[in-house]
Amino acid sequence: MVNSQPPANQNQNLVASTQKDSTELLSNLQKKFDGFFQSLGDVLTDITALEVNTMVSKEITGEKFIPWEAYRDLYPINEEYLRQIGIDESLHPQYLKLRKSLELGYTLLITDPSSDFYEADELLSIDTDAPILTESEVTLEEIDTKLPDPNNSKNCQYLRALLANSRFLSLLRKNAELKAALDSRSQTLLSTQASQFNQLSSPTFKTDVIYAQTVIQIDGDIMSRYSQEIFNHPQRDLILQIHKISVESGHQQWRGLFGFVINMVRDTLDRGLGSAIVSLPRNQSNGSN
Amino acid sequence: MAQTKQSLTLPSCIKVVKDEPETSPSHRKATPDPRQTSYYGVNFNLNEQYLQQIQQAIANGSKLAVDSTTLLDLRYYILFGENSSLPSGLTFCSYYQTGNDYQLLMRSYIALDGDSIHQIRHDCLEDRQLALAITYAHHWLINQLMDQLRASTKFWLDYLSWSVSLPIAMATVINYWQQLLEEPWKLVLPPLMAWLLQDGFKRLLRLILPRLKRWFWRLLLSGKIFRNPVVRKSVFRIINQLGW
Repeated sequence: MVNSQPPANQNQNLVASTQKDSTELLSNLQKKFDGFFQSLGDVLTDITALEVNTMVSKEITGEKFIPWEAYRDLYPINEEYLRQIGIDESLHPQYLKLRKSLELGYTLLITDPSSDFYEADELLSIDTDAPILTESEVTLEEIDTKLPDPNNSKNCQYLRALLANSRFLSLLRKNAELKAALDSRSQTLLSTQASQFNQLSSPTFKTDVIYAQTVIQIDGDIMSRYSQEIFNHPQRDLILQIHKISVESGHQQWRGLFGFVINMVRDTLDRGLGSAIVSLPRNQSNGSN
Repeated sequence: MAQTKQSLTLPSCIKVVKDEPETSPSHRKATPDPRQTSYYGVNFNLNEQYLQQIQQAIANGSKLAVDSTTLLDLRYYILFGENSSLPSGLTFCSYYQTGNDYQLLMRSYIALDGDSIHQIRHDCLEDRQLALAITYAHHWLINQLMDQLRASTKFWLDYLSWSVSLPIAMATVINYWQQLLEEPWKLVLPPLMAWLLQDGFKRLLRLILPRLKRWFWRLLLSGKIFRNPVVRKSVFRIINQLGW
């Protein structure tokens, strides 16, 4: 990334050099320790903010996450497929959005020279070969998917490696969580449509939607978004209170989890290296703003 | 009056769920099937009594007593949970007992990259008190687990240092029993000696331990030597029991 601004001040220089050092150190580490540090590095580069979502669900299942299964179910999504499997028209945009974000995540991965999945030969030019990176309104139909087809046995080995990549995996995981909610919502819609005629008008409100979302940026900015359904919800205040509790704990929980992992790294490495890794996400957020 | 901060014990409330492909030697495969994943998650089994106890604990500021096996499983889950590498996130499920049944009322997915999704069952909202109690308990339990993830070496250090210094002090007492009886003020000396010894020993350990610990963790995390999950888990158990 090249900064075209006039001469940077000392602070910026410092940030840039620390960032460079950290990145260098991180890449050295990755050579040294496979697996663990690779994943940690991937996670670190993805941290830009804490995001807390509160969802009210009709039913919660403790289903396990199987990457292959999640990928297999997300891959075929397009307008026609959704119609075929009988998903309500109103939910199509949300399904397509998930599929598109997976495509985007993958395209970013294969266009990133530092990633194991970098495909230098295949991408001649980003705007002709990867429109998903340049055109915000592009639809799934207009692009040739770059994602490997899970039904093709030739892709098995490659897909296995892809599903072990922590950057792709965390995107897949989040999309799978959101898709599960959409599936449940679709089921509810179908059953209400079926029983519409003999229904004793019970107060229905939307389930399996994210009612509230709070994003805490690393620089301290806090943004909250609410679904418009929440305003008519009979338990509006309760949902907001539950969300507030989640937000308050969210920070502590993530800090505990992340602190543990970082601590482990710090214990493992010499002091200098450990603290360089810790300082990486903050520097990156400074650099990108 | 000062509150006594006792830690709260909730028997069989927290369960780290494992779904390992068979690790017994007869079933071990050369290469793991990509369609099979070693999924882990944490379940909280709650009931009315537990909810009350947790509310009390929150009010008193007490801690949750987490047994070492649970902590060991949880640490292993975080470091090697998915496909022997860092998992993308952790799942916590709160079940509530109604009659003989446990119902899943709340579920949280906390990703390492900072995103989290919290789900609550819609019919749970109708009972405002229950919904809030479950939410508080659910988050308190997660917080307690996360807080205790970092192992403290203090206990182990104390234990080891005292178990070296006490026998030495005892031996001295036995050896110089006669002298001690003659001059009773000297009875102060053995405890003093024991304390000084353990303190010195602790200092010495503190100097050596970090190196040893670092070396151990490097071996473990680099995954080169302990690639076999069974061996790795055993080594992991040992260093966890040492409080590292």
